[in-house]
Amino acid sequence: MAQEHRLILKQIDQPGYTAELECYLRHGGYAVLRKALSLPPRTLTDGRVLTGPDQLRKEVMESGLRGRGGAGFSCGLKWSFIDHRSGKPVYLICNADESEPGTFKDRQIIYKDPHQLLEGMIISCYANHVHLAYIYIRGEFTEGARILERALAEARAAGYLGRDILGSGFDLEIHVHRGAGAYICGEETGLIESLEGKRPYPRIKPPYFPAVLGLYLCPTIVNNVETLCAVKHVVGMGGLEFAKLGTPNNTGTRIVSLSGHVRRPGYYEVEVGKVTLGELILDPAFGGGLREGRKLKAIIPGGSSAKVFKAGERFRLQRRGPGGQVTSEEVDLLDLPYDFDSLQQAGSMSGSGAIIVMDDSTDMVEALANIAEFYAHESCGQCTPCREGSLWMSKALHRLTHGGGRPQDADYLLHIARNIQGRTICAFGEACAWPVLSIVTKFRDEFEARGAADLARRAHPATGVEAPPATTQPAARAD
Amino acid sequence: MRPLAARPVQPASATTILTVKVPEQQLEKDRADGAAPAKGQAQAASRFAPPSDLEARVDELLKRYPHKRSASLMALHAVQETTGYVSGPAIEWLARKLELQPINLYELVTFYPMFRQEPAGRYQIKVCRTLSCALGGSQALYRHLCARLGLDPARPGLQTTPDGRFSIEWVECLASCGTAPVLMCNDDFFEGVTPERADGLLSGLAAGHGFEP
Amino acid sequence: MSAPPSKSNPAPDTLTVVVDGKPVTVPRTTPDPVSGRPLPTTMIQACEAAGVVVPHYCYHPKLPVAGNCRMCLVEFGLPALGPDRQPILNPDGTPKIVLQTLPYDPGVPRAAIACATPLSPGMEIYTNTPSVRKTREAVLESLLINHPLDCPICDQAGECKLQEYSVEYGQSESRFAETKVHKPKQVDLGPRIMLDDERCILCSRCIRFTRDIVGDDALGIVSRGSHSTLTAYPGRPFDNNYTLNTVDLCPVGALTSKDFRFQMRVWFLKETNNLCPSCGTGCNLVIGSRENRIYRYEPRQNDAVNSCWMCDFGRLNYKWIQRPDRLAEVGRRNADGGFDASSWTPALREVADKIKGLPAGALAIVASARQTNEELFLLQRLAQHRQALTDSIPRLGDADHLLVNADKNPNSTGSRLIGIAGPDLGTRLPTMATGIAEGRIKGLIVFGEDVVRHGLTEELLQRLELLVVSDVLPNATTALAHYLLPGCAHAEKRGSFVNVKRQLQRFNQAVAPPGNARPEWEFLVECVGRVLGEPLPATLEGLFNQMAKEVPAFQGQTWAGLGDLGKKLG
Repeated sequence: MAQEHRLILKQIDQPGYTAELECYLRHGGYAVLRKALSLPPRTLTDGRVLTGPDQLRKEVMESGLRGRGGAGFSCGLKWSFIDHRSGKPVYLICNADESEPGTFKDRQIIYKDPHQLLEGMIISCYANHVHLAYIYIRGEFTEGARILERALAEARAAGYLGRDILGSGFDLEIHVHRGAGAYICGEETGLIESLEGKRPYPRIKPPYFPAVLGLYLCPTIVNNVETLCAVKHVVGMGGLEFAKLGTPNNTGTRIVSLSGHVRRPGYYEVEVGKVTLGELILDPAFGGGLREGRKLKAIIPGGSSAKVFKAGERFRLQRRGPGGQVTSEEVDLLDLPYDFDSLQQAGSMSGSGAIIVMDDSTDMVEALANIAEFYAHESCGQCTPCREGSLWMSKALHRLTHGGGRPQDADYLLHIARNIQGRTICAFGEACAWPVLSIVTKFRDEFEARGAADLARRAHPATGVEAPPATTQPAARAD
Repeated sequence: MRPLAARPVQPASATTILTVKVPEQQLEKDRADGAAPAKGQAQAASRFAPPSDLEARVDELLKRYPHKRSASLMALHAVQETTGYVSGPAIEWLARKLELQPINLYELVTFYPMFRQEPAGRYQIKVCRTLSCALGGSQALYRHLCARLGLDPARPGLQTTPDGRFSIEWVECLASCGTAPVLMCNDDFFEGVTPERADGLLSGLAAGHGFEP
Repeated sequence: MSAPPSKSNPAPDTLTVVVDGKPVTVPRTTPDPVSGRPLPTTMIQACEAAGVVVPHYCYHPKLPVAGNCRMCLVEFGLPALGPDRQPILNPDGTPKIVLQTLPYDPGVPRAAIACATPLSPGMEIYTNTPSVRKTREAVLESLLINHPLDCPICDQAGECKLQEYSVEYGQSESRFAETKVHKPKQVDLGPRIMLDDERCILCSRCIRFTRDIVGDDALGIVSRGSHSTLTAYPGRPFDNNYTLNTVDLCPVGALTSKDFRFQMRVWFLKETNNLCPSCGTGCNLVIGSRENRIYRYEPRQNDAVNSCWMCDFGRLNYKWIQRPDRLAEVGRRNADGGFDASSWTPALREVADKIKGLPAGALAIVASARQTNEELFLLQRLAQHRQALTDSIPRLGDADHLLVNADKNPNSTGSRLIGIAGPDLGTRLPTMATGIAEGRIKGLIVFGEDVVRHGLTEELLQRLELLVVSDVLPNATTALAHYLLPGCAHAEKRGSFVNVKRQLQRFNQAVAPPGNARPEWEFLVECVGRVLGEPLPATLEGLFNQMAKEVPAFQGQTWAGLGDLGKKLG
């Protein structure tokens, strides 16, 4: 029986649980930090000595923790890229720019349990010799920023931040930095540019890998809110213990944001890979199924940039058993384990853990037009294919949803999306191309039907000559 | 509720910025023949008197960063919170404060949708347009709100009622997709907003007091 | 970079990569164009070394890399490494190369921007595969969908990168079925620059130039996405002294020069290598002219002098050449004090004879440091023969950190090296004035200066028995000349200058001089040859080469050897 496994969300939503330090302490808060700061150096059998921070990084590496922001990159590996001998300060930035449509998990932590995030951050900073860190929070979380400021002040007053934290000799300051309404700030190098006070144009990589040339061209770690909270639990229970949660290579728990046409949308923390997509959508413990009389039509499994799944799709999955033997089996969409690797094998991704469910009342052309308008609005405009292509797709879809469709529009859209994919500075190119590529391919009949119907309506009855399509601007904002 | 009132910009003392960039040329007139480039014109006096606490707030923000420029975004938020929007003179004032060129801040103000260059209504309603909210009925909500406010739901961009009390605009994903449709009114968040709840919100605001969701 | 030398890289500071099948060895690092610090050498630099052109818009070798246009995307392969980190070899012993592919689609090559991607040993770069060509077509299509396609009225037509690449990678028909994005047109960016934002491809070259090269962070991009718009801050004109370089840098017709726009189609322009005479820097330039009219100056790359830039002042300082009051006729003062037109042959003969008639030491020569080395050399020969006192006139002004030099003469160094002037220009003028006042100096030759403004007053000049003046524009001195010999602007003749950094550079004739005006060196050869009683070379090359033999600083130089970029004197 699939069920939630609340680790990060353990206290959140419990009656009487508040964002105050006093409440956090009553529930055992900052005990893990205390433990982390007091780790004595450990001598290995080969004579090497691991300092406290070394041991913490090792725990995180052993935990198999993968980033919860979208890319699913190994947190321990990311940390290992930091050059501690560069002579430059190392910065850590908490990416709290939660903007991937469908995602609302970090918000829960920030608003309801900010000290858990701070504890995870302080531990992560200690582990990486960071003395100045920032929380980059999306601008619309106005209240969230206030809550964090308050929590930071409390933590400072109680000696969890500032000079000589808990008598360990470790100094750390954390500041809140607010964004102002830009999805691209979730891209880590765009975020860094934004934090430097510039337009959040993602940087070219190479050479600007954050681990080497990050904030102020110093080594920089950018981790998602949930990832940093997970670090606290990794350190608290031990990396190997954490790795027992979830499935191999997909360890721990993660918070799934479930929205769209389900009865019980919401956030659910599950062991990674222990719950299937179908369970998340249909099980009474989670989505509780579709609305009365509705059938499943499509699932976007990892935020709106993830490639769509069509109801009834089947996939061949390679699975690695406990003994290392690889088995292959064909599974239905709803039987896909909700983890990083299975969804990737199925041609999509778990991204930010956001599942958007669409039932058979959904017009996929309209849905794609909505998604495309988002990406056209959020493209930063730095590099050519995305700047031009994102609005091009949005305009075409707007035309298609306003009576100006043409039979060739499905291929037209695919052409534009392929122009973008793989050719941009950052992953936004894929983010805006993939929904188009997947939805047009998998729901091609709907696009062609629209095009044919519009053509027939516009055609002159006597000659059959096509009138020019009505070219109308999408209802994009004037900015 | 913390309604954010747009305060008028205070009259300010004149500050002159001079940009003389073309060096004086010493060539004799015979060979210059009017070809000498025009010199940078003295700028019109820029007037902005920061409200009493703004300068202190910006000074405090500057302490958070090793480089002044990093404070740009936070300082622009502070400007907008204290004066209701980010005016040209405010940009020039802040640029001097942060040792930047005004274009550096103008680039930001025009990039980030949360910054306004014009005052907006006393209550700014931002309705989420993105997919989950659209699936949850945001279009109907927006149309309903516009009908109540006498505004045009088809018009792009921010609209304000003639009395200046309400502004409405579409915004992209507000990260509360599980409780669609959602909207923000000034700094406050409203989830699962049915047309009936929207009516309650509007009447509450119109009556001059906050609305408890 | 401190990688140890390996067998494939004999020199530790170089590495070898393969560009389209051709091995090329390049330095591991290349100096940053702005800071000069060593940066890893990039793919595009290796391609250039291999003679392979990679199409690009935003990349410019003298600017920091932006990487935004995506036109220079190329495919590449890297040597496959075994578990022991050693290269895996093919059966024939060559290293096995793995083509880099997209992480999410291993069937599709992963393209990298050549402008920013550092080289690694053994890397193979492919610039002309079907997939690379497709990428260029895609980028070009994206750039053109919102472009106004107004080539018939665009000044950039003929030298536009959109046009050029469209020939190779464009389609004859647009797929685009939507309405274009509209942006500001005819934006008055500053006193010399007009901007058309609809043509702008947002490559940011202009922004980087003015920020990183000039140090005037004046331009930026506002709004976002497809609505991104290049602009200056409202009310702040883009008016530094280097703004017109952004017109050169602009790969499309977005930034245009107010001076040049709508004046001439660029394909009608004749291009002539020349030098800027507005200061001692001696920026290399190209004169664009048609039918004896100059339409524009553009900087010509010379890394020893001006990189790719020049100042706006120098660039626009050409209109005097076409002034209607240019001196165009040889003049001879008649008995009534009036002026008669003359022809060159009798005038030069009379001048030569009168010079010969003066006692030794009774002649003085003021030769401008705007005259060419060849002209100064001939005058110096004359001076030596007649034991004449010589000097040039200093011309000082403001300098800046980039190109503008405080010495506003283009050839002060040449004047010193040839011996016309001493270390400090103009210090002999008082002696000259005294000599004239006391009657010891009876004859004065003036080239290219209004000496009345420099202490040789009208009253003094009127005492002279012989006043020979050559100039291009009328002034108080030319008005008093006994013989007026109309000369040429730098654009109307050939010659050489030595800049303030001792760079000896030559320039060519772009347009014909007005009327009967002649290059000064040409008539000086005749006149001075007659005084000296020896034939002087009749060609500029011959004259230069003779000068190089006689003037110690020019030893070993030849006209042909100067080439387009000149030579640094020891």
